[in-house]
Amino acid sequence: MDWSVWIPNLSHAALETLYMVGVSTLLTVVLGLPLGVLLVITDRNGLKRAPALNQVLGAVVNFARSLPFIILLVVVIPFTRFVVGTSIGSTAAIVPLSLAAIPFFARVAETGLREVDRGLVEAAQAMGCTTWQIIRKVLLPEALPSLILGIALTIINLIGYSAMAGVIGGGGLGDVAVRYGYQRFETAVMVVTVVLLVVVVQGIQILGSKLALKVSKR
Amino acid sequence: MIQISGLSKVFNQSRQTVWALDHVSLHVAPGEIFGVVGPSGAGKSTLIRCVNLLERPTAGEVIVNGQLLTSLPEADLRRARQQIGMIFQHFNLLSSRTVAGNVAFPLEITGYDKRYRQERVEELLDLVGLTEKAHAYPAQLSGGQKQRVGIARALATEPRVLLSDEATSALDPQTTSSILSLLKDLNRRLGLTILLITHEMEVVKQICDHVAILNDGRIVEEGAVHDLIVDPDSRLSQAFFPRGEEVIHTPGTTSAAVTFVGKAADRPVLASLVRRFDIDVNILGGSIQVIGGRRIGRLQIELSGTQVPQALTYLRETGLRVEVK
Repeated sequence: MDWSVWIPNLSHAALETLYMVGVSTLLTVVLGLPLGVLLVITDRNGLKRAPALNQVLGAVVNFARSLPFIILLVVVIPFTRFVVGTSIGSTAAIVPLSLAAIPFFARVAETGLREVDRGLVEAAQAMGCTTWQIIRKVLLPEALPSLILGIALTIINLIGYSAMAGVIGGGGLGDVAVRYGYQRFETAVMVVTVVLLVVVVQGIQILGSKLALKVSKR
Repeated sequence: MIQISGLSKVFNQSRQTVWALDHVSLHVAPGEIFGVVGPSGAGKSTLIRCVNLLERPTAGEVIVNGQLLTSLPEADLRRARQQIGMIFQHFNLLSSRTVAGNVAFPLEITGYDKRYRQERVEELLDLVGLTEKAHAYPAQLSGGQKQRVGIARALATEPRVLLSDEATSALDPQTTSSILSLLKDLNRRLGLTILLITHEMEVVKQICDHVAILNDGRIVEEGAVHDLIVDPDSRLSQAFFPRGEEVIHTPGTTSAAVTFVGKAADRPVLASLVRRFDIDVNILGGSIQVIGGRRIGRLQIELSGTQVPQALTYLRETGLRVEVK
């Protein structure tokens, strides 16, 4: 066990995790939030009723969520190659990570948005708001605390998923734990990486909860 | 100001159709406070929500501010709604915005610039007496304060019509009274026309000029509050002066309900009645209420003596309403 080798190795892996999870989270929020909004407003009691679209979106989301991540990782390889030019490495891992997290976050966002009191939407309609104004000025700000908690939840999920990114050479802390710690019986390495992951996950949860509480004026 | 004609709303529930509103017509004159009362489930909420088309009526027309709302395309309807204020039973304030932010909301929607918004918000908070709460969040306010914010918000774009959906139903009696005074005051000072729905007779008593009673989706009585209240047969007057349990009629006496309005309520009519006609008067029950700022009393009496018919005529001649049973 030579720490002078392991410390640079681990920090490199940590940066890979940060990169994969960070970019995937960003993509997930940017694409998953509109999807969540769509799921809410196209509903049969929604602002822009479109039952057919709603059912299609719902089915797609359910389908994507029912695929085990390890399978998704492999199935989307052609798509990944099309988008990033390669199917191996951290950048390539971002594609399946985002694809797995987007439908998850869309559902989480949907739940949060549905919790916004119907009366508020009605008041906004009575004031002459457009659907877009209601989304931007009522639904999103009012659901912000639950959206923040949802993002924390998504990040934690992504960290979990990213451990499997090693399959396509994505690297990261989880990969180190699996390959060196588990497969080569380097127990110390495994313990260190797992502890690191635990600390990061705890930190994100605590941060998310605090932030959600801070923006909640209820 | 508000003209509703032939308004019907039908809900199709599993296998049965429910007529929430059944050909309702009413007219609210400019500057008037018009109350629609009725038990829960009578269709009041549906009615007021049909006025600004939060609910689409199945049939009928709604005209507000001279505009036929029921025929407006979406974009015009939104503009028309900006000229109709609305307040709610549960206030419906944005929890993520401060008091000032909530009041500014409709101004943002309408597209006023920031400087105007700030001025107008100050003005409005002053109007409802909440200047020092400008930076508080709704969660920090009492129910009465929340409704004041609701009122300020509803008036932000200077609408000439205010719709009130059970605005005081979630408030205690004292707060209700102060909110009603505020509404009355705004009605007088700004010439604001108010259409309100409520299940509380107290609201009608304190501020309404005109009232319609809604039952099972139909208007069963409508008129000026002071006209209805003096009519012993009206539902409104019976609501204020309940006949109570059936009084046991003493044989050989005449029982009558006497309604006193305004000045007549101040004169000692009964005392002079007894002296003049040498009859016995037994008071079975009675009450005096202040309705729309006027004193109105109703007495349930029993008369016995030889000159009872003359006595009744005398009562009628002094301007009282007498109903013999």
